[in-house]
Amino acid sequence: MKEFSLQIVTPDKTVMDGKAISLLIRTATGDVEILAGHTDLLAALGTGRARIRTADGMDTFASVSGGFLSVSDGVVRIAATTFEMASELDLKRAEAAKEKAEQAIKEAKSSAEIDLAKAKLARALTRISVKNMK
Amino acid sequence: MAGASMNDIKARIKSVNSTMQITKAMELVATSKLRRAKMRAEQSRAFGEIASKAMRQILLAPSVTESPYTKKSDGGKTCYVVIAGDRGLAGGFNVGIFRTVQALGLENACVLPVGKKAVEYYRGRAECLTDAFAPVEDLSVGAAMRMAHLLVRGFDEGRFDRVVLVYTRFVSMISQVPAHMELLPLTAEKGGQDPMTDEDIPGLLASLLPRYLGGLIYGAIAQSLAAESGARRTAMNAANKNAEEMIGGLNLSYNRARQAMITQEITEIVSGAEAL
Repeated sequence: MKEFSLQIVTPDKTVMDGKAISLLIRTATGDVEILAGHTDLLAALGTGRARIRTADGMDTFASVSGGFLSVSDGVVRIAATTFEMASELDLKRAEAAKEKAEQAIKEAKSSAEIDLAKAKLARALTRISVKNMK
Repeated sequence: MAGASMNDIKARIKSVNSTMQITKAMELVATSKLRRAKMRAEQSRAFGEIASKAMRQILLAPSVTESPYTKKSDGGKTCYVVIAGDRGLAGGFNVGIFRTVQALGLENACVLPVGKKAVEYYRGRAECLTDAFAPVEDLSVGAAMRMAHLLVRGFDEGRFDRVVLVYTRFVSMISQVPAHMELLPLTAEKGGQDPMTDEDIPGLLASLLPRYLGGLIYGAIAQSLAAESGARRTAMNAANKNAEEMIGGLNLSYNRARQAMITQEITEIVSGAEAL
């Protein structure tokens, strides 16, 4: 399969600057899979799992929460708020965050607090599911 | 007489010396922090570039003018995001930032202060959105995102209709310049086409905006931290040079006073011997 350039950055670092043959990622409107030769695209990322497949057939999973996805001239660029590879995720921390978020949803007083806690819970659940992928 | 002033000079030399020890230590700390902060500032640059490029594509789209975030400010309040440092002794670093805000005009404005110095300075001087972002040094990406959400919410609720980011740009190790950047409203540009996307443009803009602003704010914080260390290093370097100069001068006076005392004693002995 053909490769394309993939560049992934977060505000505090460059996560990846290399090549891949497929990128599966959650956008605000649903999951998209990007292969080489994809048409230009601009999308907002949602909170969810991402899968990067490299030419050697290896899959890398990551947990993503929000940001930009841009495909232009065959180069795929991602500017995400967080983009954590499965290897850097801490299962215990994610589970603790999940429990805290569930607690916060129960105790929340305003709808804004509930939204915030729900977003936190979604991130924690994504992290746990990504970590359990391998 | 000469003895007393000699003791005075000795005491002063000692005091200048101990001050110099502190400024020297601070210079060393600032130098090592600068190295780390500079790396952080460089690493935050890529996000800004990618996000800005995507944002430009959105702003070029004709339908973007329907978004409330591109509506021109019409005499509403301005919100300044002011990024200063946590500590003083960094030359004109903090003062430079406050002066820049002053020059932009604090009438009909509110402030989102970032950094202990900014929080202290604007307490009582201006309407502050929150003072929750006091120590700037350990602010994470998450904190920058929280700031962005706070700003977008304030903008949505009509508490202000313009947001300006004031921070210090890290130009080089020895040059740091206070700068400001208009964050909101965004300026729609002409002559573009709608980019390929699954969402409508105003909706896309609304969901991307907090991330975009958060990324920009995080980048500005990273730059400001590097600039603060740079300014402190320069200031402490100058302080060390001054202290060395002062000690040199004081040593000279001390030696003169000592010589004068010896000469006087010899004169006294000689004239005493002559009298015999």
